[in-house]
Order: sequence, then C-alpha cells, then structure tokens
Amino acid sequence: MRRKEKYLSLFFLLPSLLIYALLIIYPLYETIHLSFYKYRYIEKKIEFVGLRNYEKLLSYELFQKAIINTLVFDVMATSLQLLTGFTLALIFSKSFKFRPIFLPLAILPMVMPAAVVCSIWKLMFDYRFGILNNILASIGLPRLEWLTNPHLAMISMVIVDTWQYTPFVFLVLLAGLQSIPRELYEAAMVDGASKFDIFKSITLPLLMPHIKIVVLLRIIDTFKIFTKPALLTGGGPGDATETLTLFFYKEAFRFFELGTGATVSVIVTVIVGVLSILYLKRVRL
Amino acid sequence: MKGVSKIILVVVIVIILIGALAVYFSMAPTPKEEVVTIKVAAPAGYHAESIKVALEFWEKEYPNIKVELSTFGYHDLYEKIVLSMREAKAVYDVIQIDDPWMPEFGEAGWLANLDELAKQYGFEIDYDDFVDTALWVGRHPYKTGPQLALPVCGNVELTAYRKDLFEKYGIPHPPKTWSEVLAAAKKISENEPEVYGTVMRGMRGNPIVSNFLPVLWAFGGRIIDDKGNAVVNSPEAIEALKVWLELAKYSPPGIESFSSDEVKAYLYSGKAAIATEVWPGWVGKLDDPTVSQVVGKVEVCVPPGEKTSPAPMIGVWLLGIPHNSEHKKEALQFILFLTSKRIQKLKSLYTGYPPTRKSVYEDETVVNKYRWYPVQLEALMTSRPRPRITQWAKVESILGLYLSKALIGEMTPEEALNAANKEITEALKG
Repeated sequence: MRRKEKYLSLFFLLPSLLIYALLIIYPLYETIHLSFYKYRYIEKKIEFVGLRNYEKLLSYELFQKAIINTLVFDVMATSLQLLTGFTLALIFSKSFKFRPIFLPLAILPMVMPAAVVCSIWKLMFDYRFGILNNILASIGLPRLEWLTNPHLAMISMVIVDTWQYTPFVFLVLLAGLQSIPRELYEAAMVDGASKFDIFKSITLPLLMPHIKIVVLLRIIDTFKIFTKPALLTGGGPGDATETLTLFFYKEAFRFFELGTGATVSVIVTVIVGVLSILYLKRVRL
Repeated sequence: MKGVSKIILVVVIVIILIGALAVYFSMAPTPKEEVVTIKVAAPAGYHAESIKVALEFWEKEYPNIKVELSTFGYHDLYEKIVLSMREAKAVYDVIQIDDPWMPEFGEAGWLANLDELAKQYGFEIDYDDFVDTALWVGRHPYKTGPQLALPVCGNVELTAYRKDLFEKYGIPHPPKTWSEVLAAAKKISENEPEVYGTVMRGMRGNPIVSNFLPVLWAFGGRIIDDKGNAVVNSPEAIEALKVWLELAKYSPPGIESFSSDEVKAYLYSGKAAIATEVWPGWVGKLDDPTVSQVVGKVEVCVPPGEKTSPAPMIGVWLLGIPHNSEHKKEALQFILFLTSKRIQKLKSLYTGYPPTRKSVYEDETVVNKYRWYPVQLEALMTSRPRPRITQWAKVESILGLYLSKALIGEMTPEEALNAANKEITEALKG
C-alpha cells in the first residue's frame, strides 16, 4: 500500500519534473557541454577544446576584474538596499498624514524600465549640467565625476540600483512588519519595555524570515547587473564597471563566441550557486 | 397564438440571415493580384525615420509589395540579423548593415550578389552616381569583390568648430592638422573661461575608438597592417595617442563617459570650441534656432591630417538581401527605390538623412538647406574604412578598453597600446 502511494505521488509529480527537465536540466547540460568547445557561431566552426575556455577566461585580466566588480557591487548594493528599504518600511508601518500619497511614490522607481532609469540618472550624474553636481556646487562642495572617476563609477551604479530596487525590499519588509500581531507590542508596552527593547526583541526577530528571503533575492538579482553598466558607462572607465553579465553579453552576442559565452555562464552559475548555498546554510530559512 | 409567433420569429431570423449573407458576399473582395510582403530590419532612430518618409511614397507606387519595417537598437539589430541569416529560413528580406559588419557577412556567404540578382530580374543598378568609397565597403572582398550591399546612408566622420571664436583669436580655419587643432583648443580655452577647447567621445567601446581612429590614421598609424598583423603599438600610433590625450585635456570633465548626446549638448550650447568628431546626423540642426545657441557660428570641415593627408572615417550603412530570403526580387526593388536619387533627395530634405549619391550632394535645393554638404562629400570621397576583418567587433572592444585606461591615466600611452596590441594579435588568431 505504501509503495503504491509512493508511485502514485511520483506519477503526479511527473508533469512538473518533465517541465523542470526540459527548461532547466537540458539547457544546463547544453551550456556545460558547449563550454568545452570553441564555437564561432557565424563561421559555423566547432572545435573541441576541453578545459581551455576555462583556463583562458580565468587567467584573463578583464574577466577577473569582472568577477571582483560583480561581487563588490553585489555586497554594496544588497546591504545598502536592505538598509534603506528597512528604514522606509519602519517609517511607513506607522500611519502618518500623507502616507497614502507617498506610498505609491515610494514604489514608483521599481516599476520603471531600466533603460528609462539609466537615461534619467545619466543626466543627473552629468558633471556640468547634472542636478547632483549642481546641488553639491550650490552648497559649496566640489563637483564629482560620478561616472568617470574609476573609484566612484561603481558606487554610482550602486546608487542607481539602490534607487530602483529599494522599493522591492521596502514592500517585502513592510508586509512583514504588518503581519506582526499588535498584541505583542501592547503586551510589551504594558510591561514597560522601551522602544529599543521592543524593536530588538519583537520587531527584528519576527521580521527575520522576511529579511533573510529578501536578502537572498537581492543577492541573486544584483549579481545579474547588466543594464546599468551597459548604458551608463559601457563597462568603463577602463574596466571599473565591467561586470560578469556585460562580459557574457559581449562574448556571446557581439562576438558570437558561443563557447566562451557558455563558459562564462557556467562560471557565473557556480559562483551564484555557491553563494546561495553558503547563505542558505548560514541563515537557515 | 404561440404557434404563430414562433413562425414569425423563424421567418424573421431567416430573413436577417439571408440579408447578412448577401451583404457579406457583396463586400467580399474581388480576387486581386497577389500581394507580397517583405520584411525589413533597420536601426531605430533617424534611419527608421527616413525609411518611414520613403514608405509614404513606396506605398502609393508599389501597392502590391507591402513593407513590414522592424527597427532595433544598434546591437540588437546585429544580433537579430545574424540569427536570421544563420538559420535556414530568413526572417528578413532586406537588412540594413553597418559597414564593419560587411567582412563577416561576406565571408559567411550570407548576402545575395546584387549584380546577379539585377541581371536575373532585369533591373539596372546605376553605379556611376554613388560615391566610390561607399560602394567599396559594400563589396566583399573590399573594393574588388562583388557588390553585396548598396550604401544608403553616407555617414562620414567630420570635425566641427566655432568659426566665430577662431576668427576672434585670429586662428586660421579650417584647421589643417591635429597640431593646429591642439593649438587652437589651447588658445581658446585660455581666453574663454566659459568655453572648453574641445569636446570628444571617451566612452569605452565604439565611441572612444571612433574618436581616436582619425587621429591615429592622420599620424600614419594603423591597427592592422596589409599583412594582417596588429601594429597598433607602432611609434606613430603612440605619438597619435599622446596628441589625442592632449586634446582630451581641453575637453569638459566627464568625457570618459561621453557619447553622441554629450558631444551634441556641448556643441549646440556653444560650450565647446571644437568637436573633433561629429557625424552628419548630429549637425543637421546647428542652424535651427529652436535647438541651437550657435546659429551660423559653427563650421563643419573635413577632419585634419598630420603626417598624412586627412583620413576621415567612413561609417556608411548599407542595404543587403540575405541569401535565404524568399522575396529577393521585391527586396531588390525596395533597395533600388531607397537608394534612388529621387528618394535620397526626399529623405535628405525631410529628415536630413545623409545621401550616398554625388548628384544629391550637389543638388541645389539640398545644399541650400545643408551648407556643409560639399564638405561632407569631400570627406566621404577621401574617407577610409575601418579594418576589413571578420574580428572587428572584438578588436574594437579590446582597443576601446585600453584607450579608456589611457584616458583615465591608469596606463601610459605606451603601456595601453602594447597591451592592446598583444590582445588584438591574440584575437586575430581566432
């Protein structure tokens, strides 16, 4: 009887397993397979090269820089977005006068297309005409080369990404905050707990599952940063904003070196996979 | 009673049905000549605008050939047409091609031979009127091979400068060498605190390379020599890069991310004295007071030379027919239409689209509207193409990276060009 049930459950799982195999396992297999070949798509030349693609890429300076840049960006953007999103969520969890007006405004950046976001920010970052530098200059600070100072360019990317995706973090955490039962706060207040104690012992622990999941989602998503460097800096100045997806895009769709492109994807998958597993182990969702 | 109303109902329904059928059949179209639809892939922006202008005339004159226009951003277009030509069945019947893509497409045998097609279908291509240099890039191998695409957009690199400022400081114009440009930039920026000496494109990738190439060529440098070896670290090239970096010092801060929009902004607001590299599509509205603050003050010239005569970079767009198209005849008709003298003139007058025919550049109405057209024709006729290699996209990307590193001072000119040369050599091996 039990065995029969087991088979039955497997049978019911079959459709989704098939879809999974078709959409995930097969492409993954093909990508890994392709990464052992030198394949110039336009010339229709395919040649088995073993691990040489990996060797070449991992010793290629620009690719190493792309890995480092992506990791740095990922850490900076995710932490900043968590910080700003959390702060906003705390503000909006209380009701205040213009909350119904500000709430949709706070979400607006997230629903804008990335290309539009980049055009707007490119104007704002402009050295001479940009509003950011005009503000700095008006309060007597020096103008900054937002996109063209190699040390600042990546931080500018972080700012744009944070501006765009803070609302996502904010929404998830706001939903989390609103799911915390009122009674807990009331009980704590009756017991004479201070505001900080309430935050530390009620809000934070109960919000933790939401924080963990939103951080994981942002880690994965920021890893795929593409539009911003592609449109704002072209990966420059120098190699300051070269990222893995940008590198991948150029190899696969501009040079049509599909073997190299596949190799980059495999390496990216491994990095993201390892990061996610480490993270999941550590935070135990 | 019930039975009667039922009968009436049935009769009414039948009458309505018959009536509806009669109306339907009287409206059904009488069989006409077969209508063919051709699909066209072109870059978005001013290219697409010009085609739309031409389409208004096309639809009246060729009612049996419908044109379906798809427009894409630059890199998307490349991706889409490569995928379309690589597969067995064509998605597009006419594609617009940037000239550096030609060697790759030609080598792959992806484009139909236009002369053969013309012969087969009894059309004539009037080659005499086209600018030679623009025709040459449409052949594979370059200049000598069969015509695989016809030039539709006569883009060529030009230089723009503030004539009023040159005259104010007694600088002879137009500048004949890059050294003269440098001296002029220095003088003007020292005396005019509000105006930058130059404005250049420094964004990594295609912009910085396009900006540097004419200077490189003017100093006698090259990226790849006749034997196909990378020579971008030659003494001439290093000298050219040094001068180019000097020129960049007089540019506004932030040029490391400048592309066409920024150059246009500085040029049109009069905040830059010399734009070392401009393209015909950018200067069309210099005399339009609604967008330009320098009406009548900016002059366009052929880019300067130095050790060799001027070498403006050609950047024409061409129209070709994929080998796997099923409507080659109609596609050829459309290409001949778009590149005809009459339509080129209309596109130029309506949208400022750069022609590829000498007769249009010399046409009185056109020159009255665009005073720099004689200069543009001269530049086009003396222009030089980017290296005719299948790996150009990669070479450009490599050179772009190291030029950017030199521009931000991360590498010296020698270091940058040596590193670039090493990687380009590697890339050419394939």
